[in-house]
Amino acid sequence: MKKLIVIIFIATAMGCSEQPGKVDYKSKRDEVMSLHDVVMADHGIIVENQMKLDTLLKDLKGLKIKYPEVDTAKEKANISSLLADLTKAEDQMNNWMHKFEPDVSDKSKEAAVQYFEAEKLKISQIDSLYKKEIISSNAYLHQFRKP
Amino acid sequence: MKIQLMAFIAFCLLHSGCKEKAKRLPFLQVETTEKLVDGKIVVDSVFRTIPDFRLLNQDSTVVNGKDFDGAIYVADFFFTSCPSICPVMHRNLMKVYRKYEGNREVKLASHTIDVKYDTPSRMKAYAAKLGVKGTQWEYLWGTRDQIYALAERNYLVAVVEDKKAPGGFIHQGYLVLVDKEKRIRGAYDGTLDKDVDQLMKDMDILLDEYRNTNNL
Repeated sequence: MKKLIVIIFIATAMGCSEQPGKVDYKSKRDEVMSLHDVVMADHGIIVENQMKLDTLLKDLKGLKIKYPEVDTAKEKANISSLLADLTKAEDQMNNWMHKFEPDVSDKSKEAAVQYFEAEKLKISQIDSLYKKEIISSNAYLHQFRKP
Repeated sequence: MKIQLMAFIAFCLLHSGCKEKAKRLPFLQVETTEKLVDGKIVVDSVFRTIPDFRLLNQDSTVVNGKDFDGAIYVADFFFTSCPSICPVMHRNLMKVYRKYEGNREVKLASHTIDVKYDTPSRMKAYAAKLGVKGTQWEYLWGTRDQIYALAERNYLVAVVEDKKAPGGFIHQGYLVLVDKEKRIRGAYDGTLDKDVDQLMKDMDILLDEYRNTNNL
C-alpha cells in the first residue's frame, strides 16, 4: 500500500513538473511572430522609401529645376548613402526571414524556448534598425515632398 | 384543363423569378469625373481596371493580363519564407483553389514581394508543397518596382482607402477579387475564415453575373 502511495506521489509530482510560470515555447514563438508582423509593416515603408529615393536619383536634372538651390552632386551622394543604409537594413530582415525556422519539432522544449528567445532578440534589433532608417529617410524625403 | 393549369403555374413561377433581381457585387474603384457638355455639368463614372502586366510564373513563363482573359481571379501578395500571415492566408486560399479546381473561369494570382529570394523555381517548389498543380494558381514574380506598383497603385488601393492603413498593407493578407473586365469587385482578409467564406460566396455571385448576362 505504501509503495502504491509513493508511486502515485511520484507520478503526481512528475505530472506537475511543468511548473507554473515556466515558459511555453509556443508563447515565445508567438512573440517572435507578432514582432515579425510589426517589422513587416515597416518593411513596406523601407521599400517605398527606396523606390522614392531611386526616383529622385534617376532624375537629378528634374530635381535641380524644381529646387534650383540644391547641389545635385551633394544630393546624389546623400541619396546613395541613404539607399545603401535602407538596402542593408532590408537585407538583414530578408536574411533573418530566410533562416528563421518556426518548426521546432526536432528540438526539445527547452531548446525551442532558447531558440525563439534568440530569434526575438535578432528581430528586435532589426525592428530598431528599421525604425531608425525610416526616420532618417523620411526626414530626407520630406524636403522634396510634393506640396 | 390540366395543361392550362400547368402552363399558368409555369408562367407565374417564371414571372416571379424574373421579378427577383439577381445579386450583383459592387465595383470598388469607380472614378467620377465632371465634364461640361453644352454648358451643363455632366457626371461620368469610370471603372478603374488592373493595367496590363508582364511577370514570370512558377514555370518561368511570361504571364500577362491576357492570360487572365475570360476568368475572374483572386490576387494576393505574399512571400515563401513568411512565417506568420502568408501560411494562414494560403491555407485559406487552398479552400478557394479546391472549390474551383479545373474551372476555366477562375484563376488565382499570388505575387511575391520577396523578389530577390522567391525565384520562379522556389515558388514552384512552394506551390508543389501546397498541392497546387498546373497554372490555374499562378505564382507571379517581377521586379520590386513592378510588384509594388501593382500592389499600391492598383490591387490594394481599395484596401488602403477602406482601412486607412498607415503603410505595410502589402503584408496584411488581403485577397482581392477581380472580374473578367479586370475591375476590382471585393477585398477580403485572407487570414479570417469568415472573410474567405464570403469571398467564395461572392465569387459564385460574380460567376452568376456572367451566366445571367450570357443567358439574356
